[in-house]
Amino acid sequence: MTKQILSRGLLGALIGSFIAQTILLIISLVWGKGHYLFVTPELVARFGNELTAVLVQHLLSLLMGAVIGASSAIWEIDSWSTTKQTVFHFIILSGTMLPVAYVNYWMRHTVSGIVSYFLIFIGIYILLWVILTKYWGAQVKEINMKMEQHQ
Amino acid sequence: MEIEVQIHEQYTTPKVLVLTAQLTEEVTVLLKKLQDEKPSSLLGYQEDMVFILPLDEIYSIFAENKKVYVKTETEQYVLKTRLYEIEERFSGSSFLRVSGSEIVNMHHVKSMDMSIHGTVHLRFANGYSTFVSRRCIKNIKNYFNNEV
Repeated sequence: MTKQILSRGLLGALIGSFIAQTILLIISLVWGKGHYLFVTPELVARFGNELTAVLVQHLLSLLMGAVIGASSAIWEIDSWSTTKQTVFHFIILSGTMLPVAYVNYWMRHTVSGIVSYFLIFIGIYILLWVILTKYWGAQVKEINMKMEQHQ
Repeated sequence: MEIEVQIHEQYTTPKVLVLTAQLTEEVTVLLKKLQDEKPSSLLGYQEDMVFILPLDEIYSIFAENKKVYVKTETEQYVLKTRLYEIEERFSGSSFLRVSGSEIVNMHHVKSMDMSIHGTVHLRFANGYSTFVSRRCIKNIKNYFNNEV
């Protein structure tokens, strides 16, 4: 399990960095007018200079990728119930994504901004839980019907 | 070793009875041989006794604390075979792997259910119930698709 978490985390970090680069390239191609926009002016203003802003952005994309990758190992723990898997995944992901979103100004720095971001997260996970439970429930029901025919 | 063969009409299926003072290497080898030719049973151990368990009577074979056990309707025995060997030997039969540590005989399974939190269990005729790994559910489904 530890090996899986580490390898998925590493792969996630690489993919995270790659996605961030691709997004920056696309943004630059669309809005850059021939310039490469490697960081937003807001982030530069926040961290004082370009280099720090780029560094923070890079580290955060690595961190997010690593967390998303590593936490995907949760879905492999078959002895955990769907509820337990969903709750742990939610705690880990929101625990990373919310602070990152806050630092990067992906959400408003107000109570309602934070709460609405959090509610979107909860909504996504509730939907995920419902889909997973319905899916496995349908599988179990189907097998049960076959068992009855069989007996 | 003495070998004696008795012929009686009542034994429509032949029965082999081994009488021994101790479970020696020789006897174990003999039992293994008998079993190989008759793969419709497994040898289950309880302390110093050996039982020939017809496959039909076996409910479950599971690993716990590095040992492998066989469960019948009322009894439990130690098995001297690895779980993966059982899986290989019985592939294509009613014995299916249901989790990392258990193979069950689907013939004795009554129903399958899922808890509110999404853990899946199999229920047996004798009241025994066991956890099913979600990744094994597909196999169980395939088994019934091929059977019915």
